[in-house]
Amino acid sequence: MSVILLRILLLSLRGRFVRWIRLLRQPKYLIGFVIGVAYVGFWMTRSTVGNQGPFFAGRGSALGGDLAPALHIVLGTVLAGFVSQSWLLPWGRLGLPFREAELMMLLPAPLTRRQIISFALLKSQGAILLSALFISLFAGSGRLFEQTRLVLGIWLTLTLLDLNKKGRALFLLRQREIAPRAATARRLAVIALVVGFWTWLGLSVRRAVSPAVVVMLDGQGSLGDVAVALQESVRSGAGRVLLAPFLWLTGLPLAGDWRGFAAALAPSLVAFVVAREAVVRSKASFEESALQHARDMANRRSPGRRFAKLSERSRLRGPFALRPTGNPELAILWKNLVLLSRTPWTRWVSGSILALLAVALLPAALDPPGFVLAIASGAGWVTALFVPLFMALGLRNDFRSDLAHLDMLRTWPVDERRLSAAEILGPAVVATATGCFGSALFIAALVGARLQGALHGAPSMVVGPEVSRILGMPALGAIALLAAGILPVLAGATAMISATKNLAILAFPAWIGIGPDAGRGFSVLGHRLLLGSGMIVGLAVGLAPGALLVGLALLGQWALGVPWSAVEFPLWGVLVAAPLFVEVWFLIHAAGRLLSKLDPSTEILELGR
Amino acid sequence: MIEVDGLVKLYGAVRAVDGLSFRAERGEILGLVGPNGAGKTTTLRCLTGIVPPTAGRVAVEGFDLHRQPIEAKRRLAFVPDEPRLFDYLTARDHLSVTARLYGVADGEERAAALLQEFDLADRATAFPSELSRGMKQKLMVALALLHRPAVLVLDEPLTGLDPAAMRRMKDRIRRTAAEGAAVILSSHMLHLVEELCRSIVILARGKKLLEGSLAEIRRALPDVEVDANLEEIFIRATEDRNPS
Repeated sequence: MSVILLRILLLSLRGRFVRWIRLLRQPKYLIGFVIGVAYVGFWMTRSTVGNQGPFFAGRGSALGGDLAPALHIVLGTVLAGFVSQSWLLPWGRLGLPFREAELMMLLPAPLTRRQIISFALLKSQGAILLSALFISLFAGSGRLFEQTRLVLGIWLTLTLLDLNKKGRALFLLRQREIAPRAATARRLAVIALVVGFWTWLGLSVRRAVSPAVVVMLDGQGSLGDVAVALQESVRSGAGRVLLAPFLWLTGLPLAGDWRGFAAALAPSLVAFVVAREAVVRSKASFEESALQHARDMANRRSPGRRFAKLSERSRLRGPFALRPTGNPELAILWKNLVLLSRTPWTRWVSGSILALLAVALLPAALDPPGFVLAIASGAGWVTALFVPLFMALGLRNDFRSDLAHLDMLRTWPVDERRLSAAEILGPAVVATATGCFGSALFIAALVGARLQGALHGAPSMVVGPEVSRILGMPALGAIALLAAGILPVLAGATAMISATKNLAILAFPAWIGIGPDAGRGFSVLGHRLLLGSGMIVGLAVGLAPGALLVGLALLGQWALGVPWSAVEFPLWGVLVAAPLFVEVWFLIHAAGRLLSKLDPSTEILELGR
Repeated sequence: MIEVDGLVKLYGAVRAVDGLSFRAERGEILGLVGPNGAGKTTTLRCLTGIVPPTAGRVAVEGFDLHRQPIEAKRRLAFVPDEPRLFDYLTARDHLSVTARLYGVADGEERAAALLQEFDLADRATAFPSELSRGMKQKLMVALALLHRPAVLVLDEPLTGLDPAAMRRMKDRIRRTAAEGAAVILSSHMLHLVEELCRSIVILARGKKLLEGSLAEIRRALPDVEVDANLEEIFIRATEDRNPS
């Protein structure tokens, strides 16, 4: 490959490195990086420090340990299956993955096709090397030499798979360029090759395994004998010949020592050279398709792509009517809800009521099996208790989207605290509304079960009679009271999670996947660990005072001799939720302060956006 | 009226803006020109509260941008060089949200009038990805004018516009100033600055080189023809600062 192309790649890497170092000059990013490295280091050294073997490694042996021979055959066969199926399918990516900017620079330059294709191959090496490192971290033994062998083996395997992928893409492209009859002939040849390969292998295995199976069926042999016969069938005869290239490749990461590694390395390197030459010598005119592919990828990544499909009527809708005057925060909330859906809230509510009525009333008419309502009630619980927490964390209709527009946000006449509150509210409102629907779904399923029981005598699988006994009142009432108690806690918890997340976004904007982008690297890993820990600690701290208050209330009741009842659930919910909201209030203030101090020129605008 | 006093912005050791002072009165159009890297965009970002200045003061209609940011920003509007709109909001949505943010009581009527004025009425339900560069630029200007700002800051406002739209945009800038707004216009189109601006500030390496009307800055430079245009003055004023 041309030296200048290598230089382009190296300069690009250097640019990234310099930008990364600049960020690490700030202590907050440095701390995140240190935590990320420590975490990865722990995984790398865990076997030597903690005497814990890695997932695949056996004691003192390489990857796979005692299972290595069997694992070797399985992996080799899987690899053969993966490679052959990729050639059977007539669709997929055409040509090579370039960015438009690269093509605009490379295609007019005085470079040969071979050089440009080599550039495409070299470009993917970064991701391949990183993948090899990460797989080896989780699968290796932790010893330096074994780890190095493993990295080299996985790297070569992944590189060959990448060459296979690119070779196939160029093959498909060439199919479109040549005469239809020639293309059909090539296609049939590939199919015949693949089918012939597997038929021959299948017959060979069958011949070797059949006697062991017959013996086992006669009760004189075991499954282990069949497994041994299976191993032998691919270690000798036709099986050995057919699977050899795949076994050499998979033999690299599984090699127990350097000698085994070297034995597998030589044929693998030959395979590498052959595959690489086949790709760089391809006659397919990749230029045009690469340009088209680059444009398609850019369009696919374009954030506006999915909105362009909306009908004219949908474009006029909004989650609620936004009048020109009033609290400006509502404009931000409106905007952030639009990002998720333009369906008016009245439609959501009426649709939900219809769905809930169906769950409550249809069982009485249709008398479905009991598990149907049990599933509905289970879905209700999950939607009420867990889905909202993940939604509050995962939804991006907050600063994660809006920091990309900070230069616009900053010109708005809205106080930073109020702006932060509006941003935090977006995910919290949607998550809480989802929780409300989940609770209502559970209650609807319970009503449905009761009606079905009353009309058809079917036993309820939703809530057993013991619930009524424990709670001291009819189950329906008790569950409704429980839901009334859970909802304020849910609202507080989702607001807390959203607030913590947004605080982290404002504290580490350079690490957050702002807009459609996503952050990567040790530093980002460190940041995620910090964020995750902060979230857990925040929730624990937020819930602890509430739990204490409920405990005190129960203690008071006990002291006074008043028995507890389900009627108290809503009160307990308010007691638990109140401290959460106080904490959220503090977090909003902190977010406002961070926002006012955030200098986009150093952390966002300078990062290439 | 906008008043800038001793504005400084440091990026590490680099002084992007170095002690800049000027003012633009109501009805005045002030041109901000300078070579690439002179600190124009950073200055505009500091003037509009996007980037906090390292030192100095910016006052909009007497309201300090740092101490009374809400009052100052209510009277301010900014059109950046690159239109950055929300991908998921239509043109009409952008205007609705802006109307609410600035509390424009006649927001709906004004939005309709601005869409009409900028030839965007039939593209009101279009998303930014469906608008051309020029249309996005026009939408940005419509958003800026929606709340009748007292200070309008424009960074390269004619980029992407066709000749007819350029002429209408120039007329609109003049009319906005005539209605009482102070307009700050930053552009590399020196003929535009010369045509529209009553006063001009020439920047280089973050510092003010010259300030005044075209005649005044012409007089301030020795050995300049009496009928020299802004381009010649600009080249003369900045050539010492840009040896390349």
